[in-house]
Amino acid sequence: MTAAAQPASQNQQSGKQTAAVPLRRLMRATARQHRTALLWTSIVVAVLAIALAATGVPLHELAARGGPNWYGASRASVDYAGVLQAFALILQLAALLAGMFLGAPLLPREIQEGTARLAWTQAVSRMRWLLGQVLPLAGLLALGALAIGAEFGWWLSPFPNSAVGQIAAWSPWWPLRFNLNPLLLAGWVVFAFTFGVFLGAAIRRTLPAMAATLVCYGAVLFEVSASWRMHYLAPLRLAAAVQFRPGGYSYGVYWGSQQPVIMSQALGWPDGRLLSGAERLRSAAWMRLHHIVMWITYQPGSRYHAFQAIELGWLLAASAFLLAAAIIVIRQRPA
Amino acid sequence: MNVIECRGLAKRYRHTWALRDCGLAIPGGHVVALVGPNGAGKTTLLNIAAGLLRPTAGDITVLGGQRPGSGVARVGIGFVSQDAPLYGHLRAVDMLALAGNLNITWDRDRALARLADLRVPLDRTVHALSGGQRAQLALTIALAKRPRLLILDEPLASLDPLARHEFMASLMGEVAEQGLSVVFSSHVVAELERIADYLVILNNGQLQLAGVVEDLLAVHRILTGPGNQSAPDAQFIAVVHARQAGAQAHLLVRNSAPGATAPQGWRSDPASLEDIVLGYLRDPGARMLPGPAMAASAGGPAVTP
Repeated sequence: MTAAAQPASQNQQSGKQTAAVPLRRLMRATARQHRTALLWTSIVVAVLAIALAATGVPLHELAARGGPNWYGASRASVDYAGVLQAFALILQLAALLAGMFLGAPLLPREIQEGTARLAWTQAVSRMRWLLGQVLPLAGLLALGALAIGAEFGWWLSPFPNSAVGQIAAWSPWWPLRFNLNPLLLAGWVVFAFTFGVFLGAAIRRTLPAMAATLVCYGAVLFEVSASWRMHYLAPLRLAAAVQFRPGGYSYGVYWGSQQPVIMSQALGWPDGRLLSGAERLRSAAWMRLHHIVMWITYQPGSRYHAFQAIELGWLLAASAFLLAAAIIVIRQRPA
Repeated sequence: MNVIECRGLAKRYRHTWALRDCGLAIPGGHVVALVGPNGAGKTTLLNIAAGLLRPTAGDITVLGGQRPGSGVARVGIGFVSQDAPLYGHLRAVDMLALAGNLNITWDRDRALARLADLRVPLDRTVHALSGGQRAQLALTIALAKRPRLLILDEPLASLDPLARHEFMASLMGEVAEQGLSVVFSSHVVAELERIADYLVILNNGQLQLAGVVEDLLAVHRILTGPGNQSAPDAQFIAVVHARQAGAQAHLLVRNSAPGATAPQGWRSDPASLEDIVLGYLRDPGARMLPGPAMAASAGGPAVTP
C-alpha cells in the first residue's frame, strides 16, 4: 500500500543521466493496476483445481479397487474417459482465455481509455513499463498452469498405456493431452498471453484484438496439434516382415514398453521403394517371391521428452519474440 | 534555457496537416498559455513535446536540448493529458501509489498533503470522484514527480467555473512555490491575463503569436475612429484586425515603434489580452513571432482583413 517515496534530490532533477525505474516497483504498480484481473484468474484456477480434485479422488478410488485392469471393468470406469476428454478440452480453452482476456486487452485498453498517455509520460520507459506489465502477469499465469498441469497429471495417472497403433485419449501423445504436461501447459499459456499482447499492440482496439487472438492462437494450436508436432524430428522407418496368405496378410512388430506414434504404413520392396497401385494388387505368391515387407514410418515413444522439450523451447522463443515485437510497436506508434 | 524549442515542426495525420512549419522558443520560468480554436493543433504540439507523438518534419527539443520522450525529458516533465486520464477502477490513494511506482523522483508526502488540502477523498475510486477532483488528482500526480516543466492539455475544459478557479489558484500556488515552468493549452480566453505571463497563439496548425504578455500588452492598442476614414498610416502601425461597428471602426493595432501615438481623428485605448487573442484569431493571416518570422511580419505591409 505504501509507495516507495524517494525524496527527489536536486542532483537527480538536473542531472543529465537518469536511472531506470526498478522492475520490482513496476511489478508493484502492475499488481495494483491488474488486481481485478488477477482475482478472476485465481478464481478460474481455483475452480479448475477443485473440479479436478472432486472427480480425481473417486477416480483414484475406483482404480485402486479395480486393480491393474480396472479400466473397462465397469461402466463407471469407461465414463471417466469422457470426463478426461472434457477436462483436456477445458484446459486447452483456459490457455486461449489467458490470451483473449488478459493478453489482448492489455494495451488497447490503455490506448482507448487514454491512460497510456498517463503511463508513458512518467519516468519509466515504454519498454520497461511493458516488461513490468507482461513479465509478472506471464509469470503468475505460468505458475497457475504448472499447478493445474501437475494436478491433471495426477488425475489421469491411473489410466493404462495406449493400445498399439492408435492414440487413445490417455496416451501421452494424444494431441489434446500432449501439451497439458505441466511445463508445456505453462509454455502454451505464456505463448497465448504474449500473442494476445502483441496483437493488442498491433491492432490497438480491444474487441478486434481479442477476436484476432482467438483466430490466430486457435490456428497455431490446431496446426501444431494436427501436423507440425510430428515433424519436430525426422520420423524413423522400419521394415516389418509380412506373412502373406491368399486373400490377406498379417504382420507384427514388438515395440517394447513405449508405444510409438505411427505416422504411415505401406507395403514396399526391401530396398525401401513402396509398391505402386498395380503392384499392390498382385497375388500373395508374388509378394512372398519378392520378399515384400511392410514399411512403417513412426516416431518412437522414447522421443516423447525430446518432443516436449522442443515444443517448450519454441513456445518460449516465440513468446520472447512476440514480446519484443510488441515493445517495438509501442515505441514506434503514438499513444 | 528554453523549455520548448522547435524549428520547422510539422505533423501530418493521413491527408491533413495538424501542424505546419512551427518555429518557437519558449524560455523557462514562464506560465505559458497556448491558445487557439478547436482543431488548431494545440494537443498535437503538446503531445509531441511530451514525447507521445513523433513529428512528421522539423526538430523539437525540450528542457534545453533534450529529445522529447527521452529519459531526462520523461523525468523532468509532468504531463496531464486532455481529460486527465486515470485508472478509474483504482482508489485515489492507489492511483497515487501506482504513479509513484512509475517514477524515480516522487514526493509522496507532499502529494498526500496537497490532496488532503483540496479535500479529495483518498479512499474513493477515481470513477466516483467529481471532475474537479479528478483533475486535481491528475495535477497532483504530475506535480509529485517534481517536474521542471509542467504541460497541461486543456486542464480547464471539463471543469465548471468554480472548479476552474480552484484548479488555477492551486496551480499558481505550486508555480510560486516550486518555481517550475508551465505550458497549458486552452480555448478559454477569459481570465488568461491573471494566469499566464507568456502567450502563444496557434491557429489552423500555424503559429500566429508568441511573446511575453507584458510586451504584447505594451505594443497592442485598440484604435477607435470614424468608420468612413481610411485606415491609419500603414508605415506607422500594423493593423491586426479591423472591425466595423456602425459608424465606428475598431482596430487592433500593433505599434511598430515604441511610444507611437494615435493618428489624428482616432482614439487610442490599451488592449486587453482578450482583445489581442480575439483579434489574432479572427485574422489568421496576422503574425507576430520572435526571430526571423517577426522581422518578416513586422517589416511587411500591414495585414488587413
